[in-house]
Amino acid sequence: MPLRDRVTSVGDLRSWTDQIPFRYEYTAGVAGERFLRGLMDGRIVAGECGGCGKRFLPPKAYCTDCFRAIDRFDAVGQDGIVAAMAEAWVGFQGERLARPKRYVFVEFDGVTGGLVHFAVGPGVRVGSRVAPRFRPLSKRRGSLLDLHGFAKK
Amino acid sequence: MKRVAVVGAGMTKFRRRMLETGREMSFQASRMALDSANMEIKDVESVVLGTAPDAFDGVHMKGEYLMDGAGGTNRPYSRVYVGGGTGVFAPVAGWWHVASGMFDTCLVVGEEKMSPLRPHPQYAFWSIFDHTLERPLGVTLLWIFSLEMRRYMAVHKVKEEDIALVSVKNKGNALDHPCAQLPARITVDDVMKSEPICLPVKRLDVSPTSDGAAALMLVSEDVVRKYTDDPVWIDGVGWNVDTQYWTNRDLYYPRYVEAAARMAYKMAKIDNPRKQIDFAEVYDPFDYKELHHMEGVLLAGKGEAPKLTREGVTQRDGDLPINPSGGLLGVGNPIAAAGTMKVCELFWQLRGEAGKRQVKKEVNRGLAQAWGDLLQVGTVITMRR
Repeated sequence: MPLRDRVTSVGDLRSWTDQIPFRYEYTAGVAGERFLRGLMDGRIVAGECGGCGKRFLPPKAYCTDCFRAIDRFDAVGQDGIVAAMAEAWVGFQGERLARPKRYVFVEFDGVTGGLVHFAVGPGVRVGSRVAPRFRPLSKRRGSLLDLHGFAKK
Repeated sequence: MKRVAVVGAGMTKFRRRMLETGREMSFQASRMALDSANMEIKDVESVVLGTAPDAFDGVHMKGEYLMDGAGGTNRPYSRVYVGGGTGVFAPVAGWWHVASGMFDTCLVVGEEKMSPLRPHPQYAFWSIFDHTLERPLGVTLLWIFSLEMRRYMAVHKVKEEDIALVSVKNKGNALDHPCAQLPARITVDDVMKSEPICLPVKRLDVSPTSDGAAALMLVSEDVVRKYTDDPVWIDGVGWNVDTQYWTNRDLYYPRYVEAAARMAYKMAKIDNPRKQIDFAEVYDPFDYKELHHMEGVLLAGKGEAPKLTREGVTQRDGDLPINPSGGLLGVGNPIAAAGTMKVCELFWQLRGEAGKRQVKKEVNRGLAQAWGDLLQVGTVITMRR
């Protein structure tokens, strides 16, 4: 039976609150390391399969098509195209946001996949040609947030 | 039912902390298994991946997260999980994919990346205990295993020194394993004087936490000759899960492991395991567990395993080699990958490809076994030439 059917105060029961307080320190991995170091250098890095020539963004250490190891990592062109867009008014913990967060999914020529990030500035629409906006060099930490997002060209 | 052969195997190094993500480790092991089977990803009709709690890698829906590294993209793919027994259960699940006639080929992958969890992977186990009766005590799995070890010692009057011999043997065997994390030449005295963890368990009685992956390529009898003239056949599989109320059974003996072994033996028509199994990779996250499991799979009588160990029967050049790979104590213990590594070892030993680890006597049949959850699951596989 659901607790609410009969009990209005959980304090009346022999109950308790608890949590499973895990924390983590992740490695970015072989391809992820290349990607994050690329962002620190102001570049968006893709991986290219030496077998079939397919380029992946975010980069992978293996080709999901021909299942070969990937060891070639190069920057994509700076311009991308917005393929999809969303405007969030509720945060990931259910809180109302004072200002919406605008997310874009950006694709690049000749690359399989793309990058999801924030829209920066006005005029960004589906189909817009956009360019990455990086943080100042001194503030980059090897994180996805070394990038402010994408702004209209 | 189709006969199922193993035609390829591969594994990464096992290490305390790998740069590679779980996906990347899965890829490396899978690619090695394909290469050793002379196969390409297009030859893979189905994929089974085994990996333990999401809490280790710190990724919810870890099966889906890992799948493209395991070659699962756009294929019939599933993740299986039975705690520490997963690494042997995944090949069992791969077996039924092929034995059923549904698929001619199945890639099986075991993966674990335990290193991200802070402060220690052991911490994840606290939350698997009962929230009313056990969690308030601040328990860990080491706590419960120590109870089990002491119970085994008390019932059979086993000395800690006899148990320590297992750690000495397995860490020594691992010196010949190129992927091993903790190979070492140690003595019983070293084990006895090692740091107390939860007595009677001491530091050198326990396997390490690890990152790693291992993989196997399974094919049906209908296509096996396309890939090899030297198949290794899976001839028995078994699994059994006991109640999570671990207090309701006597800890001195893993009855669920025996049930799993009997299931496999019935299928393989084994009526005298001690004579019909030439060597075994039994689950050894702790040194006493090797003894416990030798008895559980009926390769030793109850209380007999310490004596066989003392007499050298379980050495690599003994009459019944146990854990010639070096086991979890020596090679490492990335949970699901560790069990799959044991099945890989059967493949390499039975094909005579184990290099310096090759057991001395001729081997025609081997057994791999894993164990886990709250002292409650046994998974068993037997393979033969």
